Amino acid sequence: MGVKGAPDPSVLALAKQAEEEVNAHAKVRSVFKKVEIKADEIAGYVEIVGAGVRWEGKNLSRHLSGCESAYLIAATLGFEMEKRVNYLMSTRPALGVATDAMCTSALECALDELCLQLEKQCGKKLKTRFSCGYGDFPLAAQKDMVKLLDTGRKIGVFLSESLMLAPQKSVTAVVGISDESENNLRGCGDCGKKDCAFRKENK
Amino acid sequence: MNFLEFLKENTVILDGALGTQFQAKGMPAGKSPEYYNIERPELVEEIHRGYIAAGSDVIYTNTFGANSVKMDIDKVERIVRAGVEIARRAADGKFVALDIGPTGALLEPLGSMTFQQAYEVFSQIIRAGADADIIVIETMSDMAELRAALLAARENSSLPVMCSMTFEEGGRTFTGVSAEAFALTASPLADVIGVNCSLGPDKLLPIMKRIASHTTKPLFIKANAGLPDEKMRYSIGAEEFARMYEEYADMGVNILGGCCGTSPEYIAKIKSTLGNKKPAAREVNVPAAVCSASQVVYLDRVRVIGERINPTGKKAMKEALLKGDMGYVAARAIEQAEAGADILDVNAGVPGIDEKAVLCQMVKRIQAAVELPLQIDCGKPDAIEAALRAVNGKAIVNSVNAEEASLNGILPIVAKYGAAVVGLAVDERGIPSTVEGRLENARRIIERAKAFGIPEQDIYIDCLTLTVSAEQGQALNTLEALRRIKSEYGVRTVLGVSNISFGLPARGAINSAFLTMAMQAGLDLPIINPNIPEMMAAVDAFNVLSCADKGCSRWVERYASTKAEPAAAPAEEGKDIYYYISKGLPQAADVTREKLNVMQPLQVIDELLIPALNRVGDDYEKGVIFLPQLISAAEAAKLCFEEVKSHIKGGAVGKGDIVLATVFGDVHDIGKNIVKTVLENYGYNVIDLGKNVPPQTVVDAVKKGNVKLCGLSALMTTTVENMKKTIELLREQCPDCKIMVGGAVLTEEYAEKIGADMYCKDAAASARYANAIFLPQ
Repeated sequence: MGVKGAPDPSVLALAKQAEEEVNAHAKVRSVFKKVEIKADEIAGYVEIVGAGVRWEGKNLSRHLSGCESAYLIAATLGFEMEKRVNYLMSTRPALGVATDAMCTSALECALDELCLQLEKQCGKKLKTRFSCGYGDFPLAAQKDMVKLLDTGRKIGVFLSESLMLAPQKSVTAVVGISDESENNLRGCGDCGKKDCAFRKENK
Repeated sequence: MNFLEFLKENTVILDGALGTQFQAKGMPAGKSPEYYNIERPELVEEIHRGYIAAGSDVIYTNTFGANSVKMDIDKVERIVRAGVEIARRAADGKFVALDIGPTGALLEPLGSMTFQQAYEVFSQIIRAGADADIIVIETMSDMAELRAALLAARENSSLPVMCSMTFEEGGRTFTGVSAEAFALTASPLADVIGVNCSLGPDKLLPIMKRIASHTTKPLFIKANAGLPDEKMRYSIGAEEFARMYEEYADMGVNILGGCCGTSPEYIAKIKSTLGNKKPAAREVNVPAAVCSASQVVYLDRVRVIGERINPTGKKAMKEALLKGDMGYVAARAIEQAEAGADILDVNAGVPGIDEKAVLCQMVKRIQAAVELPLQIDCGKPDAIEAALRAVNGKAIVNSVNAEEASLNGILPIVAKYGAAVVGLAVDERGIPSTVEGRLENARRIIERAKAFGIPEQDIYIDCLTLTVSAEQGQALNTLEALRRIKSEYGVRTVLGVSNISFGLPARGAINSAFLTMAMQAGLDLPIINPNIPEMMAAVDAFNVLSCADKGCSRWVERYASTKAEPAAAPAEEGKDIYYYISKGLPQAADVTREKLNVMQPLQVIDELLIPALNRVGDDYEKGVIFLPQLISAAEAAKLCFEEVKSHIKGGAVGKGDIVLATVFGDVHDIGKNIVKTVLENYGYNVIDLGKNVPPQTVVDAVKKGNVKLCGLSALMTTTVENMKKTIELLREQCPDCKIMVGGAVLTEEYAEKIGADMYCKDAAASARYANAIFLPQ
């Protein structure tokens, strides 16, 4: 919600209400798929072996360099949550805005949890999530993600012609499986988008 | 033999999974199996033959994803044709079903694809697959998409149509369609309805039961072989699977097949277990009900139809419709839903307006805002049909009358779309003055509606309310006609109530007394203003007293907690409007009211409210307050403006009209909605065109209202292109209109590059810019 510093009690109360809204209306659904990958940092591409998918770009290939496999993941809070936020925006706008923000964190939490679970499952370290639109990882790759994960059928996530996911609170990501523990954890301040309103410089 | 004849006498065995079979034969992940119709037809044929050998009476063509959203439009026809040919070769005299899956894109309002676009995608497949014996539309999760496919099938083919949706365990699809709403909405448009995919037969059984109680159409099931584990091994084996179908067969589901994880082995087991069984008879009394995609309203007690979305006698609604301000319409829908209306009447009857187009816009926008079923209030067949195409559920058509032209013009449309219909007990001679005259008209309407195939539970008669001050004796005639129509014909009844008190003082008392008398006489569906608590209380009380509200549970739920809201503390000495607005407190309105005693309304706006809002904007800019507080402040300011409005004759304090839209292709509208809230509370009249708005629609709205400022929002690089197109079109056709833009990917430079006048990084910035345009000082 853009709040910096210690929040006002009224904002905290609103956040509490927003949390209740999310608990009542969000239904987390997720899907994942383990794939073999070839990440070529020098040539700048990542290939999903056996699926005929190749993503060009330096950022993702650098991020995944050294990984031979990865999880493709997708998660969503569902349409009921989306409809509820829309309704709140019309009836109680302040709560609507707060609930929208709460949804974003709830989805991130759900993804964190999924990644922890996958880490246990494969017994290896996972890299941080990398989504279409980060750096030079093209948005168009969303088409491959949605298709490979069959998100429409499995979790009810659809892609529009303009490459937007529906429900809006949905995420897809590539998570590299690594032999070494994560030592290249990049901070917010490493991102190339210098004018981002949420940017935090690395400590 | 015709498929529909065949299924009357036989248990029909469908096929099993295609995808699972392709994967077993080594198809790589990410490959679309439909291409095999061209690349490896022999493999496709081999799989079909496996199912025919196992005992399938029907095989689905390998065309599930063959549509122009998922593949090149030029390839669709060839792949579909090839798919039907291969299946025909393999079928060995059995039935070939043209398989149609979802497009993969999502329709409005949740997504951005239009109904017409989806309709054309499906029409192409259906025309290309004309040589099949059956059309099967399956695995749908969105009601709008399902309806587009069904109508495309009905209007481009005469083949029998099967359709199924995919449900989660709670009996809803991913987009929220309930099993019952699916059955009520799809049944009139399909020959056979069913369920496929997602779960095993055990988990789908309760869902199938819910569907079965809401349709008289034959039923089919294509369940998954349970749930897969990590290695994609499914949990239910062939024998268990077939055994689970016994209960389906016993309840009269006689068309059986398999979805993901099933194989010819499963089909063979179903065939040997149930193949020779004669279909069990089904006894169904479909309940009287209407629905949206997600909500069914049963007419098992008095239900309220909200009357507020009707321009007749309502100046603000009339203006909104003329300006194309659908945000106003949506707000009235939400208000009535909050007040407890069960169904919403939708009327676009403004002289000189394009009723067909406006009615459709209204339907779409209301459906995006609330989940209540709708009543299409219109007498023009073409407008009714267009509106029913847009309705995402089962609606009511209001109305036909006993004239031949009305009956013949409207009833076939009602029957085609499976709507319910209101019959007005009038004919070409007008409203009969006698009870018998009204009964005679009602009888004629009921008879004709039934002849068109409209079931009795979907016919509602309106005996007409006349103004009691003009024709006093007619009130009793209306009530008597109601009573006799209920007792003699047994159909549901509807009545516009508020007209009774026209021209009298204290109208509310007359209205609620008449409403109570009418309910006692047999009124099921009063059309009233739900925002009047006394009217809603009369209905709720009647439902208690007539035993429709079992155990008084609704009454208690609704009224037990209506303790008086803790009265807000009175405004304190020394705390000004700024204080209350900035804290988002309702006392801001009290202070405003006091000030209005000593100041002119416009003075209050200019000298108190606007400066207070500007200070709040500055606080936001400086990081003293944050977005939620900015919005709360705007909400408090809205109460102040309402106070001021009530002191001005005509209520107009608008500082000017501003058109807002989220651009075409973009459905993320929270930013635009925040801007709207803030602008409205600065006293601007916002014409909110919603999301996914085509450039020409923006231009039309600007032109129509001669609007001086237009705000556009876009989230992503992919939709900024449409923002640019919209700006170009505005420059061309409305050169005087200023354009402000905002959204996640926009920057000042980018805004300049696409030709906007102003980049607004947040809602406060848009209010500042609006003030600079409208209040240049």
